[in-house]
Amino acid sequence: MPLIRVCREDELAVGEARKLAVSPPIAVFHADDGWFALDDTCTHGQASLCEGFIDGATIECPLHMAQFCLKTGAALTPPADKPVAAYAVVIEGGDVFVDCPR
Amino acid sequence: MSLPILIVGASAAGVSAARTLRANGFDGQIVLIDADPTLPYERPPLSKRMLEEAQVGAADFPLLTADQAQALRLDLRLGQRVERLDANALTLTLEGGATLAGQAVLLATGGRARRLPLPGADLAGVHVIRSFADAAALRVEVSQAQAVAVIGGGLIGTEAAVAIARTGKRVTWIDGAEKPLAHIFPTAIADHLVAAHLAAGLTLRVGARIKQFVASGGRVAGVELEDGEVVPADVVVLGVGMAPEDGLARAAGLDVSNGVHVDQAQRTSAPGLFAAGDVAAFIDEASGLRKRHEHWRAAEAQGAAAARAMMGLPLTPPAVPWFWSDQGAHHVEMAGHRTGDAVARAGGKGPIVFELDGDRLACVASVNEPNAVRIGLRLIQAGRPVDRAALVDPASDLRALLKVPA
Repeated sequence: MPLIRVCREDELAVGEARKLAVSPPIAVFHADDGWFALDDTCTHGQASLCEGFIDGATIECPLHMAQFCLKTGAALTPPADKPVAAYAVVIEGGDVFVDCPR
Repeated sequence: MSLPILIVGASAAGVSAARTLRANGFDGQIVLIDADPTLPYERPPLSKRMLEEAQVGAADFPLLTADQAQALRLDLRLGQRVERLDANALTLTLEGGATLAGQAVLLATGGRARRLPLPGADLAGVHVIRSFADAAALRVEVSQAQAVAVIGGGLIGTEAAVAIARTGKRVTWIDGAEKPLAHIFPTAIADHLVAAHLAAGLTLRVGARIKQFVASGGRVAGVELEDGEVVPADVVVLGVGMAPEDGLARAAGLDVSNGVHVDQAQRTSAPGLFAAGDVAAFIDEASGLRKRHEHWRAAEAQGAAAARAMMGLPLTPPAVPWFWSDQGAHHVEMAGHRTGDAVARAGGKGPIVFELDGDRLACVASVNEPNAVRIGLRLIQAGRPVDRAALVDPASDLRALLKVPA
Protein backbone atom coordinates (compact mmCIF):
# COMPACT_ATOMS: atom_id res chain seq x y z
CA MET A 1 0.00 0.00 0.00
CA PRO A 2 1.25 3.49 -0.71
CA LEU A 3 2.94 5.53 1.98
CA ILE A 4 1.58 9.06 2.19
CA ARG A 5 3.85 11.69 3.67
CA VAL A 6 2.26 13.63 6.53
CA CYS A 7 4.93 16.04 7.80
CA ARG A 8 8.36 16.22 9.32
CA GLU A 9 8.64 14.57 12.73
CA ASP A 10 9.38 17.89 14.44
CA GLU A 11 6.48 19.72 12.76
CA LEU A 12 3.80 18.49 15.18
CA ALA A 13 4.25 18.73 18.94
CA VAL A 14 2.90 16.04 21.26
CA GLY A 15 -0.83 16.66 21.55
CA GLU A 16 -1.17 17.90 17.99
CA ALA A 17 -2.74 16.24 14.99
CA ARG A 18 -3.02 16.73 11.27
CA LYS A 19 -5.71 15.78 8.80
CA LEU A 20 -4.83 14.01 5.56
CA ALA A 21 -7.08 15.13 2.73
CA VAL A 22 -7.73 11.63 1.40
CA SER A 23 -11.29 10.42 1.05
CA PRO A 24 -12.53 9.74 3.65
CA PRO A 25 -9.97 11.77 5.60
CA ILE A 26 -7.38 10.27 7.94
CA ALA A 27 -6.16 11.96 11.13
CA VAL A 28 -2.55 11.59 12.23
CA PHE A 29 -1.84 12.14 15.92
CA HIS A 30 1.37 12.85 17.80
CA ALA A 31 0.74 11.37 21.25
CA ASP A 32 2.97 10.75 24.26
CA ASP A 33 3.54 7.20 23.05
CA GLY A 34 4.32 8.06 19.46
CA TRP A 35 2.44 8.55 16.21
CA PHE A 36 -0.94 7.09 15.32
CA ALA A 37 -3.37 7.32 12.42
CA LEU A 38 -7.13 6.77 12.44
CA ASP A 39 -10.06 7.59 10.22
CA ASP A 40 -10.75 11.23 11.01
CA THR A 41 -14.55 11.16 11.23
CA CYS A 42 -16.11 10.18 14.55
CA THR A 43 -18.46 7.22 14.16
CA HIS A 44 -21.04 8.90 16.40
CA GLY A 45 -21.46 12.37 14.95
CA GLN A 46 -19.68 14.05 12.10
CA ALA A 47 -16.83 15.54 14.10
CA SER A 48 -13.22 15.65 12.96
CA LEU A 49 -11.10 13.64 15.41
CA CYS A 50 -7.94 15.55 14.53
CA GLU A 51 -9.54 18.48 16.36
CA GLY A 52 -10.06 16.31 19.45
CA PHE A 53 -8.13 16.02 22.66
CA ILE A 54 -5.21 13.58 22.79
CA ASP A 55 -4.95 12.03 26.24
CA GLY A 56 -2.35 9.30 26.61
CA ALA A 57 -3.27 6.57 24.16
CA THR A 58 -6.77 7.88 23.48
CA ILE A 59 -8.35 10.55 21.32
CA GLU A 60 -11.44 12.27 22.68
CA CYS A 61 -13.95 13.52 20.13
CA PRO A 62 -14.23 17.34 20.12
CA LEU A 63 -18.03 17.26 20.02
CA HIS A 64 -19.49 14.73 22.42
CA MET A 65 -16.52 13.23 24.26
CA ALA A 66 -16.52 9.74 22.78
CA GLN A 67 -13.04 8.24 23.22
CA PHE A 68 -11.22 6.03 20.74
CA CYS A 69 -8.06 3.97 21.22
CA LEU A 70 -5.27 5.57 19.20
CA LYS A 71 -3.63 2.19 18.61
CA THR A 72 -6.64 0.16 17.47
CA GLY A 73 -9.40 2.68 16.74
CA ALA A 74 -11.71 0.88 19.19
CA ALA A 75 -14.58 2.95 20.61
CA LEU A 76 -13.82 3.13 24.33
CA THR A 77 -16.67 5.26 25.68
CA PRO A 78 -20.17 6.29 24.65
CA PRO A 79 -21.72 7.94 22.75
CA ALA A 80 -19.65 6.10 20.10
CA ASP A 81 -20.03 2.36 19.84
CA LYS A 82 -18.40 1.67 16.48
CA PRO A 83 -14.62 1.71 15.94
CA VAL A 84 -12.73 3.91 13.50
CA ALA A 85 -10.18 2.28 11.20
CA ALA A 86 -6.54 2.44 12.30
CA TYR A 87 -3.53 2.74 9.98
CA ALA A 88 0.16 2.07 10.41
CA VAL A 89 2.48 5.06 10.76
CA VAL A 90 6.04 4.83 9.49
CA ILE A 91 8.85 7.21 10.45
CA GLU A 92 11.65 7.39 7.88
CA GLY A 93 14.49 9.86 7.80
CA GLY A 94 12.68 12.29 10.08
CA ASP A 95 9.49 12.20 8.00
CA VAL A 96 6.14 10.80 9.09
CA PHE A 97 4.21 8.58 6.67
CA VAL A 98 0.88 6.79 6.86
CA ASP A 99 0.42 3.43 5.24
CA CYS A 100 -2.72 4.37 3.39
CA PRO A 101 -5.05 2.06 1.47
CA ARG A 102 -6.44 4.91 -0.64
CA MET B 1 -33.39 -19.53 37.88
CA SER B 2 -32.66 -16.13 39.36
CA LEU B 3 -34.92 -13.17 38.79
CA PRO B 4 -34.19 -10.60 36.06
CA ILE B 5 -32.94 -7.07 36.49
CA LEU B 6 -35.76 -4.71 35.53
CA ILE B 7 -34.92 -1.37 33.93
CA VAL B 8 -37.71 1.14 33.50
CA GLY B 9 -36.73 3.64 30.81
CA ALA B 10 -34.73 2.88 27.66
CA SER B 11 -32.97 6.19 27.21
CA ALA B 12 -29.40 7.25 28.10
CA ALA B 13 -29.40 6.04 31.72
CA GLY B 14 -31.33 2.81 31.21
CA VAL B 15 -29.43 1.68 28.13
CA SER B 16 -26.12 2.55 29.77
CA ALA B 17 -27.08 0.39 32.75
CA ALA B 18 -27.94 -2.55 30.49
CA ARG B 19 -24.65 -2.23 28.60
CA THR B 20 -22.66 -1.92 31.83
CA LEU B 21 -24.31 -5.02 33.31
CA ARG B 22 -23.27 -7.09 30.29
CA ALA B 23 -19.82 -5.49 30.07
CA ASN B 24 -19.20 -6.61 33.65
CA GLY B 25 -20.37 -10.13 33.04
CA PHE B 26 -23.95 -10.12 34.33
CA ASP B 27 -25.39 -13.21 32.71
CA GLY B 28 -29.00 -13.11 33.91
CA GLN B 29 -32.07 -11.75 32.21
CA ILE B 30 -32.36 -7.99 31.66
CA VAL B 31 -35.78 -6.54 30.94
CA LEU B 32 -35.71 -3.02 29.48
CA ILE B 33 -39.11 -1.35 29.43
CA ASP B 34 -40.19 1.93 27.91
CA ALA B 35 -43.57 3.48 27.16
CA ASP B 36 -42.06 5.00 24.01
CA PRO B 37 -42.70 2.62 21.09
CA THR B 38 -39.67 3.82 19.09
CA LEU B 39 -36.41 1.85 19.26
CA PRO B 40 -34.17 3.64 21.77
CA TYR B 41 -32.78 6.85 20.30
CA GLU B 42 -30.50 9.66 21.38
CA ARG B 43 -32.46 12.65 22.69
CA PRO B 44 -29.91 15.45 22.09
CA PRO B 45 -30.61 15.61 18.31
CA LEU B 46 -34.35 16.18 18.93
CA SER B 47 -33.85 19.91 19.50
CA LYS B 48 -31.17 20.26 16.81
CA ARG B 49 -30.64 18.05 13.77
CA MET B 50 -34.14 16.61 13.88
CA LEU B 51 -35.65 20.08 13.47
CA GLU B 52 -33.22 21.19 10.78
CA GLU B 53 -33.32 18.18 8.47
CA ALA B 54 -36.66 17.09 7.05
CA GLN B 55 -35.71 13.48 6.29
CA VAL B 56 -33.94 12.55 9.52
CA GLY B 57 -35.59 9.92 11.72
CA ALA B 58 -34.91 8.22 15.04
CA ALA B 59 -32.98 5.47 13.22
CA ASP B 60 -30.46 8.14 12.21
CA PHE B 61 -29.45 8.69 15.84
CA PRO B 62 -29.93 5.32 17.50
CA LEU B 63 -29.06 4.79 21.13
CA LEU B 64 -29.61 1.05 20.85
CA THR B 65 -30.28 -0.79 17.60
CA ALA B 66 -32.29 -4.01 17.38
CA ASP B 67 -29.07 -5.88 16.57
CA GLN B 68 -27.34 -4.43 19.60
CA ALA B 69 -30.28 -5.28 21.84
CA GLN B 70 -30.13 -8.84 20.57
CA ALA B 71 -26.37 -9.07 21.03
CA LEU B 72 -26.80 -7.84 24.61
CA ARG B 73 -29.63 -10.39 25.11
CA LEU B 74 -32.04 -7.69 26.29
CA ASP B 75 -35.72 -8.42 26.75
CA LEU B 76 -36.85 -5.15 25.19
CA ARG B 77 -40.44 -4.15 26.00
CA LEU B 78 -41.18 -1.01 24.01
CA GLY B 79 -44.52 0.76 24.01
CA GLN B 80 -45.30 -0.67 27.45
CA ARG B 81 -46.15 1.61 30.34
CA VAL B 82 -45.35 0.64 33.90
CA GLU B 83 -48.40 1.35 36.03
CA ARG B 84 -47.17 0.37 39.45
CA LEU B 85 -44.03 -0.37 41.40
CA ASP B 86 -44.04 -2.45 44.57
CA ALA B 87 -40.90 -1.45 46.44
CA ASN B 88 -41.01 -4.33 48.91
CA ALA B 89 -41.69 -7.14 46.47
CA LEU B 90 -39.59 -5.52 43.67
CA THR B 91 -42.37 -6.04 41.19
CA LEU B 92 -43.66 -3.93 38.33
CA THR B 93 -47.21 -3.99 37.07
CA LEU B 94 -47.46 -3.19 33.38
CA GLU B 95 -50.33 -1.56 31.57
CA GLY B 96 -52.76 -4.41 30.93
CA GLY B 97 -52.01 -6.07 34.26
CA ALA B 98 -48.94 -8.24 33.65
CA THR B 99 -46.55 -8.35 36.60
CA LEU B 100 -42.78 -8.69 36.47
CA ALA B 101 -40.64 -9.57 39.48
CA GLY B 102 -36.98 -8.58 39.61
CA GLN B 103 -33.90 -9.09 41.76
CA ALA B 104 -33.30 -5.35 41.31
CA VAL B 105 -35.15 -2.48 39.63
CA LEU B 106 -33.67 0.62 38.02
CA LEU B 107 -35.92 3.64 37.60
CA ALA B 108 -34.56 5.52 34.60
CA THR B 109 -37.85 7.16 33.78
CA GLY B 110 -36.44 10.57 32.87
CA GLY B 111 -38.82 13.48 32.90
CA ARG B 112 -41.62 15.22 31.12
CA ALA B 113 -41.43 18.62 29.47
CA ARG B 114 -43.11 21.33 31.51
CA ARG B 115 -45.99 23.23 30.01
CA LEU B 116 -47.15 26.64 31.22
CA PRO B 117 -50.21 27.05 33.49
CA LEU B 118 -51.59 29.78 31.26
CA PRO B 119 -54.74 30.16 29.17
CA GLY B 120 -54.25 28.57 25.77
CA ALA B 121 -51.18 26.51 26.68
CA ASP B 122 -52.99 23.38 25.47
CA LEU B 123 -53.98 24.83 22.08
CA ALA B 124 -53.10 22.97 18.92
CA GLY B 125 -49.79 24.30 17.67
CA VAL B 126 -48.22 24.62 21.13
CA HIS B 127 -45.41 22.07 21.35
CA VAL B 128 -42.86 20.68 23.77
CA ILE B 129 -39.76 18.63 22.88
CA ARG B 130 -39.06 15.51 24.89
CA SER B 131 -39.70 12.47 22.71
CA PHE B 132 -39.07 11.61 19.09
CA ALA B 133 -42.81 11.86 18.47
CA ASP B 134 -42.79 15.38 19.94
CA ALA B 135 -39.98 16.50 17.65
CA ALA B 136 -41.52 14.81 14.59
CA ALA B 137 -44.88 16.50 15.18
CA LEU B 138 -43.19 19.86 15.72
CA ARG B 139 -41.14 19.52 12.55
CA VAL B 140 -44.23 18.87 10.44
CA GLU B 141 -46.00 21.93 11.82
CA VAL B 142 -42.93 24.14 11.53
CA SER B 143 -42.60 23.27 7.86
CA GLN B 144 -46.01 24.86 7.25
CA ALA B 145 -45.66 27.73 9.72
CA GLN B 146 -45.63 31.42 8.93
CA ALA B 147 -44.09 32.48 12.23
CA VAL B 148 -42.72 30.49 15.13
CA ALA B 149 -42.32 31.58 18.76
CA VAL B 150 -39.92 29.70 21.03
CA ILE B 151 -40.32 30.30 24.74
CA GLY B 152 -37.34 29.71 26.99
CA GLY B 153 -33.75 30.86 27.22
CA GLY B 154 -32.30 27.56 28.42
CA LEU B 155 -30.59 24.92 26.32
CA ILE B 156 -33.65 23.31 24.72
CA GLY B 157 -35.30 26.65 23.93
CA THR B 158 -32.12 28.09 22.48
CA GLU B 159 -31.25 25.03 20.43
CA ALA B 160 -34.78 24.77 19.05
CA ALA B 161 -35.00 28.49 18.23
CA VAL B 162 -31.67 28.39 16.40
CA ALA B 163 -32.45 25.13 14.57
CA ILE B 164 -35.88 26.32 13.40
CA ALA B 165 -34.46 29.67 12.27
CA ARG B 166 -31.89 27.77 10.21
CA THR B 167 -34.72 26.23 8.20
CA GLY B 168 -35.59 29.76 7.06
CA LYS B 169 -38.55 30.33 9.36
CA ARG B 170 -39.18 33.59 11.17
CA VAL B 171 -38.55 32.89 14.86
CA THR B 172 -39.26 35.06 17.89
CA TRP B 173 -37.31 33.86 20.92
CA ILE B 174 -39.03 34.78 24.17
CA ASP B 175 -37.37 34.62 27.57
CA GLY B 176 -38.65 35.63 31.00
CA ALA B 177 -35.12 36.51 32.09
CA GLU B 178 -33.19 39.57 31.00
CA LYS B 179 -30.65 37.48 29.11
CA PRO B 180 -31.03 33.98 27.72
CA LEU B 181 -28.47 31.36 28.80
CA ALA B 182 -27.10 33.65 31.54
CA HIS B 183 -28.46 31.38 34.26
CA ILE B 184 -26.33 28.55 32.86
CA PHE B 185 -23.11 29.98 31.45
CA PRO B 186 -20.56 32.62 32.45
CA THR B 187 -21.58 36.05 31.10
CA ALA B 188 -19.00 36.14 28.32
CA ILE B 189 -20.25 32.81 26.96
CA ALA B 190 -23.94 33.75 27.16
CA ASP B 191 -23.27 37.16 25.58
CA HIS B 192 -21.33 35.61 22.72
CA LEU B 193 -24.03 33.03 21.96
CA VAL B 194 -26.95 35.44 22.18
CA ALA B 195 -25.18 37.97 19.94
CA ALA B 196 -24.47 35.24 17.40
CA HIS B 197 -28.08 34.05 17.40
CA LEU B 198 -29.41 37.58 16.95
CA ALA B 199 -26.96 38.15 14.10
CA ALA B 200 -28.31 34.96 12.51
CA GLY B 201 -31.78 36.48 12.45
CA LEU B 202 -33.58 35.51 15.64
CA THR B 203 -35.87 38.16 17.11
CA LEU B 204 -35.55 38.27 20.90
CA ARG B 205 -37.96 39.39 23.62
CA VAL B 206 -36.42 39.41 27.09
CA GLY B 207 -37.96 40.04 30.49
CA ALA B 208 -41.17 38.80 28.92
CA ARG B 209 -44.18 37.93 31.07
CA ILE B 210 -46.57 35.77 29.12
CA LYS B 211 -50.25 36.47 29.71
CA GLN B 212 -51.81 33.90 27.44
CA PHE B 213 -51.73 32.12 24.12
CA VAL B 214 -54.23 33.61 21.70
CA ALA B 215 -56.21 31.39 19.39
CA SER B 216 -57.58 31.62 15.89
CA GLY B 217 -59.58 28.90 14.19
CA GLY B 218 -59.00 26.46 17.03
CA ARG B 219 -55.22 26.70 17.11
CA VAL B 220 -52.58 29.02 18.47
CA ALA B 221 -52.12 32.31 16.63
CA GLY B 222 -49.87 34.24 18.94
CA VAL B 223 -48.27 34.78 22.33
CA GLU B 224 -49.71 37.68 24.31
CA LEU B 225 -47.29 39.34 26.72
CA GLU B 226 -48.25 41.24 29.87
CA ASP B 227 -47.18 44.53 28.24
CA GLY B 228 -49.87 44.02 25.61
CA GLU B 229 -47.67 42.93 22.73
CA VAL B 230 -48.93 39.93 20.80
CA VAL B 231 -46.12 38.01 19.14
CA PRO B 232 -47.72 36.38 16.09
CA ALA B 233 -47.00 32.66 15.96
CA ASP B 234 -48.86 29.78 14.39
CA VAL B 235 -46.42 27.39 16.04
CA VAL B 236 -45.16 27.81 19.60
CA VAL B 237 -42.39 25.78 21.24
CA LEU B 238 -42.19 25.61 25.02
CA GLY B 239 -38.62 25.13 26.25
CA VAL B 240 -39.41 25.86 29.86
CA GLY B 241 -37.75 23.00 31.64
CA MET B 242 -38.68 19.53 32.72
CA ALA B 243 -40.15 17.79 35.72
CA PRO B 244 -38.84 14.42 36.85
CA GLU B 245 -41.04 11.42 36.02
CA ASP B 246 -41.04 10.24 39.63
CA GLY B 247 -44.68 9.21 40.01
CA LEU B 248 -43.97 5.46 40.25
CA ALA B 249 -41.43 6.01 43.01
CA ARG B 250 -43.67 8.46 44.84
CA ALA B 251 -46.62 6.07 44.78
CA ALA B 252 -44.34 3.27 45.99
CA GLY B 253 -43.40 5.33 49.06
CA LEU B 254 -39.76 6.05 48.19
CA ASP B 255 -38.10 9.27 49.33
CA VAL B 256 -38.94 11.71 46.55
CA SER B 257 -38.74 15.49 46.24
CA ASN B 258 -38.17 16.92 42.79
CA GLY B 259 -36.72 13.56 41.82
CA VAL B 260 -36.07 10.19 43.42
CA HIS B 261 -33.53 10.47 46.20
CA VAL B 262 -30.39 8.44 45.57
CA ASP B 263 -26.99 8.00 47.19
CA GLN B 264 -23.62 7.93 45.39
CA ALA B 265 -24.30 4.39 44.18
CA GLN B 266 -27.72 5.44 42.77
CA ARG B 267 -29.49 3.49 45.54
CA THR B 268 -32.94 4.81 46.46
CA SER B 269 -34.40 4.64 49.95
CA ALA B 270 -35.66 1.09 49.22
CA PRO B 271 -33.31 -1.92 49.02
CA GLY B 272 -32.84 -3.29 45.52
CA LEU B 273 -34.30 -0.18 43.94
CA PHE B 274 -32.07 2.21 42.03
CA ALA B 275 -32.64 5.42 40.08
CA ALA B 276 -30.49 7.13 37.45
CA GLY B 277 -30.62 9.96 34.94
CA ASP B 278 -32.96 12.95 34.84
CA VAL B 279 -35.22 11.41 37.50
CA ALA B 280 -32.50 10.87 40.12
CA ALA B 281 -31.85 13.48 42.81
CA PHE B 282 -28.42 13.13 44.44
CA ILE B 283 -26.54 15.18 47.01
CA ASP B 284 -24.24 17.54 45.12
CA GLU B 285 -20.84 17.51 46.84
CA ALA B 286 -19.98 21.10 46.00
CA SER B 287 -23.16 22.64 47.44
CA GLY B 288 -24.50 19.95 49.77
CA LEU B 289 -27.87 20.36 48.06
CA ARG B 290 -29.99 17.70 46.43
CA LYS B 291 -29.83 18.15 42.67
CA ARG B 292 -30.62 16.48 39.42
CA HIS B 293 -28.33 16.60 36.37
CA GLU B 294 -30.43 16.98 33.27
CA HIS B 295 -27.61 16.11 30.92
CA TRP B 296 -26.68 13.23 28.68
CA ARG B 297 -23.33 12.36 30.19
CA ALA B 298 -24.65 12.41 33.74
CA ALA B 299 -27.44 10.03 32.76
CA GLU B 300 -25.00 7.71 31.05
CA ALA B 301 -22.61 7.74 34.05
CA GLN B 302 -25.40 7.28 36.59
CA GLY B 303 -26.87 4.35 34.66
CA ALA B 304 -23.44 2.72 34.64
CA ALA B 305 -22.98 3.41 38.35
CA ALA B 306 -26.34 1.84 39.17
CA ALA B 307 -25.42 -1.27 37.18
CA ARG B 308 -22.13 -1.57 39.04
CA ALA B 309 -23.87 -1.15 42.38
CA MET B 310 -26.42 -3.87 41.47
CA MET B 311 -23.50 -6.23 40.82
CA GLY B 312 -21.73 -5.29 44.05
CA LEU B 313 -18.82 -3.69 42.20
CA PRO B 314 -16.94 -0.80 43.85
CA LEU B 315 -17.97 2.79 43.23
CA THR B 316 -16.07 4.65 40.56
CA PRO B 317 -15.02 8.19 41.49
CA PRO B 318 -17.69 10.72 40.49
CA ALA B 319 -16.97 12.38 37.17
CA VAL B 320 -16.68 16.16 36.91
CA PRO B 321 -20.03 17.38 35.55
CA TRP B 322 -19.78 18.15 31.84
CA PHE B 323 -22.28 18.91 29.12
CA TRP B 324 -22.45 20.30 25.64
CA SER B 325 -24.96 22.21 23.57
CA ASP B 326 -24.89 22.59 19.80
CA GLN B 327 -26.50 25.84 18.68
CA GLY B 328 -26.15 26.14 14.93
CA ALA B 329 -22.41 26.33 14.24
CA HIS B 330 -21.70 27.10 17.89
CA HIS B 331 -20.53 24.17 19.99
CA VAL B 332 -20.57 25.15 23.63
CA GLU B 333 -19.30 23.04 26.51
CA MET B 334 -19.05 23.55 30.24
CA ALA B 335 -17.45 21.43 32.95
CA GLY B 336 -17.38 21.74 36.73
CA HIS B 337 -19.27 23.96 39.15
CA ARG B 338 -19.81 27.70 38.74
CA THR B 339 -18.19 29.99 41.32
CA GLY B 340 -18.51 33.38 39.61
CA ASP B 341 -14.78 34.11 40.04
CA ALA B 342 -14.29 34.25 36.28
CA VAL B 343 -11.27 34.91 34.11
CA ALA B 344 -11.35 34.93 30.32
CA ARG B 345 -8.68 33.63 27.99
CA ALA B 346 -8.37 35.49 24.71
CA GLY B 347 -7.18 34.22 21.37
CA GLY B 348 -9.57 31.32 20.86
CA LYS B 349 -12.02 30.63 18.04
CA GLY B 350 -14.66 31.60 20.59
CA PRO B 351 -14.69 32.73 24.21
CA ILE B 352 -12.97 30.60 26.86
CA VAL B 353 -13.86 31.28 30.50
CA PHE B 354 -12.38 29.73 33.62
CA GLU B 355 -13.91 30.10 37.07
CA LEU B 356 -11.80 29.53 40.16
CA ASP B 357 -12.40 28.51 43.72
CA GLY B 358 -9.42 30.09 45.46
CA ASP B 359 -6.37 28.69 43.68
CA ARG B 360 -8.22 25.68 42.22
CA LEU B 361 -10.03 25.56 38.94
CA ALA B 362 -13.75 24.96 39.50
CA CYS B 363 -15.37 25.51 36.12
CA VAL B 364 -14.48 25.95 32.46
CA ALA B 365 -16.68 26.86 29.53
CA SER B 366 -16.06 27.65 25.89
CA VAL B 367 -17.64 28.17 22.53
CA ASN B 368 -15.91 26.24 19.72
CA GLU B 369 -12.80 25.59 21.85
CA PRO B 370 -13.65 22.16 23.25
CA ASN B 371 -10.06 21.21 23.99
CA ALA B 372 -9.75 24.08 26.46
CA VAL B 373 -12.71 22.54 28.29
CA ARG B 374 -11.22 19.04 28.12
CA ILE B 375 -7.97 20.34 29.63
CA GLY B 376 -9.89 22.33 32.23
CA LEU B 377 -11.97 19.29 33.11
CA ARG B 378 -8.81 17.30 33.83
CA LEU B 379 -7.41 20.19 35.90
CA ILE B 380 -10.63 20.28 37.93
CA GLN B 381 -10.46 16.51 38.42
CA ALA B 382 -6.81 16.72 39.53
CA GLY B 383 -7.72 19.35 42.11
CA ARG B 384 -4.24 20.89 42.14
CA PRO B 385 -3.63 24.64 42.43
CA VAL B 386 -3.50 26.30 39.02
CA ASP B 387 -1.69 29.39 37.86
CA ARG B 388 -4.34 32.00 37.09
CA ALA B 389 -1.96 33.93 34.84
CA ALA B 390 -1.23 30.84 32.76
CA LEU B 391 -4.96 30.20 32.30
CA VAL B 392 -5.49 33.71 30.96
CA ASP B 393 -2.36 34.23 28.87
CA PRO B 394 -3.18 33.25 25.26
CA ALA B 395 0.51 32.57 24.68
CA SER B 396 0.73 29.97 27.45
CA ASP B 397 0.32 26.27 26.66
CA LEU B 398 -2.79 25.07 28.47
CA ARG B 399 -1.79 21.47 27.94
CA ALA B 400 1.40 22.04 29.89
CA LEU B 401 -0.71 22.71 32.99
CA LEU B 402 -1.69 19.05 33.00
CA LYS B 403 1.89 17.93 33.64
CA VAL B 404 2.23 17.01 37.29
CA PRO B 405 4.79 19.37 38.85
CA ALA B 406 7.99 17.57 39.84
